[in-house]
Amino acid sequence: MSENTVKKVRRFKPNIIDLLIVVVVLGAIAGIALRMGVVEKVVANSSIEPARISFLVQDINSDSYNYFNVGDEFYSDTHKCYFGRLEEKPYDLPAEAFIAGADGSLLKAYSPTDPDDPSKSSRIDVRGKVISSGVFSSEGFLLGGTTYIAPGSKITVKSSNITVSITVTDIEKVNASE
Amino acid sequence: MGTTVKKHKFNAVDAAIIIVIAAVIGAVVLFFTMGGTDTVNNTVKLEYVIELRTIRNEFSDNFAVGDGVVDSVAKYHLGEVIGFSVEPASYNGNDFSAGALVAGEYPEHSNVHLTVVSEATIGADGRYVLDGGYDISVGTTMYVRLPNYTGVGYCTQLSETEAE
Repeated sequence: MSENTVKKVRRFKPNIIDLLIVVVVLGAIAGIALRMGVVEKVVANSSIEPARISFLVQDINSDSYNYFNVGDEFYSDTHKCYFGRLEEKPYDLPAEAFIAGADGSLLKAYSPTDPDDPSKSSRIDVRGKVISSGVFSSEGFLLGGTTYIAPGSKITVKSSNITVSITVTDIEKVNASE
Repeated sequence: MGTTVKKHKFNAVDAAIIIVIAAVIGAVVLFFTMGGTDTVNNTVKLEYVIELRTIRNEFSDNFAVGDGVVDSVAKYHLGEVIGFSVEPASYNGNDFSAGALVAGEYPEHSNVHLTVVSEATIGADGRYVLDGGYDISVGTTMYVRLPNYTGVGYCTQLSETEAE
């Protein structure tokens, strides 16, 4: 006589632990999306406009000027995003410095000339402009639609040739006719 | 003839899952309450001054009444600019020949004073709290961003303008 066993089909009944696992997984996905700025990107992408960002590089080696070339693409090492394309060859100036005089007053001075090449200064400041894009919002400019920058922002940017620290000095909309 | 019903036994894996879920929930609760301070339910209107020291003159026109002020670090909304003033930045130097400190100007730089108004709550410790979590007092170092400038300054003045 053989025993007949009836196989009971176990129906899946979700319980509180399954619900908690689903909540945690959904929360993790939402957190990742927010952290990566996905929500901001979706909202901001619709109003991205071209922008011209002016910058100042202070007190660099005069030879470094040769590594700023029209069309160079710069990336923000600070924000890990695209910064802009150099619009034109920037202009260089002798690096400015503020030194205390013997009477205690502060005086503006400039970098001395290069001993090897008296026609140029040994240290320079560079002012340039890049063409970029972003959102002009009521709270300020969002580079790429997600990253706030404004005059005063100090950013490390890099191209294929050079890495420098810059100060943003101006941000303006680019006219469509330009 | 018979049926076999497998009874679920609570085991170490179930315990581990519950611990992980509890930890995640705890982290979420901590995240949303982090930075918050126990507040007495007392909202006041606060007027304070942020001093931005020694900024380049080319930035001194980048401020306007109505600008929103936001904390650069944690994105707290710190209020709205209701006034500002610009003055030459000062510099204290040493006159070594006279053996004295001398006050002068920092060339091509300015100090900007922003007067900001905001709603604030008063914490259990009596300190003012902006936007539910930003503790402010005279001397607070403030990393701020405005629509057309970002930098660091200090709170130099603070007063309640009206009680609510």
